[in-house]
Amino acid sequence: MDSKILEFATLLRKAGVNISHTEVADCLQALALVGVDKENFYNTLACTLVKDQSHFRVFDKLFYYYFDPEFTGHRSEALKRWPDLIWPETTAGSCSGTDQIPGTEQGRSTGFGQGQGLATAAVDNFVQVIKTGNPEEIAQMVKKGVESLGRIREDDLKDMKEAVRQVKVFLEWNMGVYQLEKDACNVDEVVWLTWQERLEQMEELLYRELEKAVIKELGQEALETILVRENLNELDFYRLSASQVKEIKKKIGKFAHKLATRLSFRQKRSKHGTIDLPKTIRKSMATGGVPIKPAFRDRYPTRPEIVVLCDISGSVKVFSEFMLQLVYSIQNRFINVQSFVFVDTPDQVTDYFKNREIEDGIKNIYNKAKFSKTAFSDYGQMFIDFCDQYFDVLNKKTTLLIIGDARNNYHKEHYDYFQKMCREVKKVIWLNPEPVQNWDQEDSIMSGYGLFCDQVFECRNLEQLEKVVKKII
Amino acid sequence: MFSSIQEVKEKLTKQQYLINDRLATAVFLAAKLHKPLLIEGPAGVGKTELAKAVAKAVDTELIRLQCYEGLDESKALFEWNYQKQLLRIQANHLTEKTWEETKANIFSEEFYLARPIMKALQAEKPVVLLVDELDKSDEEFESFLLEALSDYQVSIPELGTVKAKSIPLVVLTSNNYRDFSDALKRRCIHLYIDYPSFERELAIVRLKVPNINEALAEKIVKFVQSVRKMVLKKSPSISETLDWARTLVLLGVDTLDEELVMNTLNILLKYQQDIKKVEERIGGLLPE
Repeated sequence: MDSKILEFATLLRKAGVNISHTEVADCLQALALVGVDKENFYNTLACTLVKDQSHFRVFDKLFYYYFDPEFTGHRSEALKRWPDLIWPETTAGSCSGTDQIPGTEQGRSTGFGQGQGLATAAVDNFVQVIKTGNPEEIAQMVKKGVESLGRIREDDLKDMKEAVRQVKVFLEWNMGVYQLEKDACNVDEVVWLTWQERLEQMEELLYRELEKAVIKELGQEALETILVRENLNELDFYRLSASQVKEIKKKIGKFAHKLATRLSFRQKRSKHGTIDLPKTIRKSMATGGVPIKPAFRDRYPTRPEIVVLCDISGSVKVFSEFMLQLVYSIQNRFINVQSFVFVDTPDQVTDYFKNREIEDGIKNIYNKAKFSKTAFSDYGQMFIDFCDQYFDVLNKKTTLLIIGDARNNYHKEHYDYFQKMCREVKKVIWLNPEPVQNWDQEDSIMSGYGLFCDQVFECRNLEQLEKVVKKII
Repeated sequence: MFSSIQEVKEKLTKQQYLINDRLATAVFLAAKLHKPLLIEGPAGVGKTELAKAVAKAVDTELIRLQCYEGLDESKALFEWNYQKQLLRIQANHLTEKTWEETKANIFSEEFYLARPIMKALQAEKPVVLLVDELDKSDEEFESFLLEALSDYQVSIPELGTVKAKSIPLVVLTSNNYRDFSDALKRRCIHLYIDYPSFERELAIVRLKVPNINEALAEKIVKFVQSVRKMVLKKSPSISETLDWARTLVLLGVDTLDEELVMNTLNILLKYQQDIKKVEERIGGLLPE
């Protein structure tokens, strides 16, 4: 048992859950007290090993995989169990109905459009399952979907999102959701909310089933890879699943709060220098006129002005949203935040965030802002337009923060305009969400623009983001 | 304090606190392993209540330390009573006493004011020390707590190390306003209390509002549960459900209708935006 727990802890560490030796020791001690019947076992492990709410997801997942008897044997056994599932890989066929018996000879669907519109049976089935919400039916449907992939390949592990997409195509997921949304107008809010909840559960289950299948097929290493992917701090932003985005947003909120209070605390404590005489005398009254503690004058921190320029073309969209969220959560740290979004032309979006939830603001941007003429990133054109329309927001006090991958689609660079902007401000910082080794590859011209910046950072996961922001502020 | 998980459950149920396996296990382990119990969760799900109930269940004193920004050792641990010391010094001037005598005198027990943590450590029999909303305190305070929580002792320059006479059961609560350091979390048993399931919430309402009629209770809980599924700034928690249930009982109603809910919604929801959101969809949210 001891060694099992140790191994379990090691695996959790791989997923970014910090577990110290004392915690493992505590856990063992607790188990000795509580005993190892099923319910208590889970509870004990949960409350001694996991100390952060955001880690529960991965803990649950691992617990489910690791202590499930199905998984104790790995690849060799899996192969024994699955021998009849090794077929030649045929080309993609159509994949439209649910009448297909899972596991029969069949290729994988690759496109979005496959089966769409024709497969009313599948859609109806999907909609029906969500509407009735029988957990067994949901599980069965998900299982069928995962089995539709046929034999699990290495690629599925590499690109889980793609595999999930394929299963969804098979299940006519998007059509089903569309259908549900249509039906939602005619039913009570409660029902609609329940459907949404079921959809979420189903998606979660889908990931689980798929991962289960992958682990069965590929063994221990696959389990580790999956766990590493759960490590939010080191996960690349473009890899996040929807629930992870939610989790990260929460984390950013907390991080913003930390930044805000950390500074204020330091300034409160480090009141030194000018003594506030009236206050000191007033205070000394309590101690019979003896000034035991001198009172110091408050110091007011200088607050920088900041201009944020966010690329929201597909490649860096997620990251830009995080950055906007962060900047607006710590807004009171700055005198003035002005934000612009662009794809090939900038548009000011500052007002979208006024007195509003950040989420709503971001939604509004996509609905209203005019940031794109051609739908392809063009930094050069953007800099020209910026100089044209908004040049006066820049001054010697502003810090210019640019978020983008500097992929210019081989358009003209217009370094001169960028240089003009950089000369006008106090500081220019560029955050690039791509890994450094991809800079200057293909159409990226990071070092070209980087020349004019004071600092350029690679910023592709939460950990790096935290580091960078601490440096900036 | 407790000898088994089952006992925890029974004793707490007697105190009108409905507890599930998870909570019971955590409480039991905290008491047995002498580790602080860190409870996290949204506001109003019964974190503080749990500590109170535990204190009552084992029939001991509850010492509460409410945290806030700027809380420091002098408020949490102990403080020298400056004013009294000063008076003493001045009084001693008039007598023949030497400075040495005075000095020895003014740092004695008479001149200090014990604050919650000190009180808990000095208690003759184990008490429950509730450090409420620890996330509101500053990080510096958190690191100060480490010594007190891991070794149950504190170091005071003038007095040396003070060891606990009895080991208190420490309960820390947090609304997840900020993250704690790993050092603190490592020393704790962690417990997350989430919004309750339908059955549990219904049981709680029945228990805490005994004169409520069955059908109404069910409707109330159903409504609250569906409101929780919406995306709101602050979802209603158990304490709000209870407040609402009590209000409705006071109003003497026995079924929910649209107008009634609209008029009393401000008890359940605390943000104008949320109230508006729910009002817009009120028809669809009401249980049949």
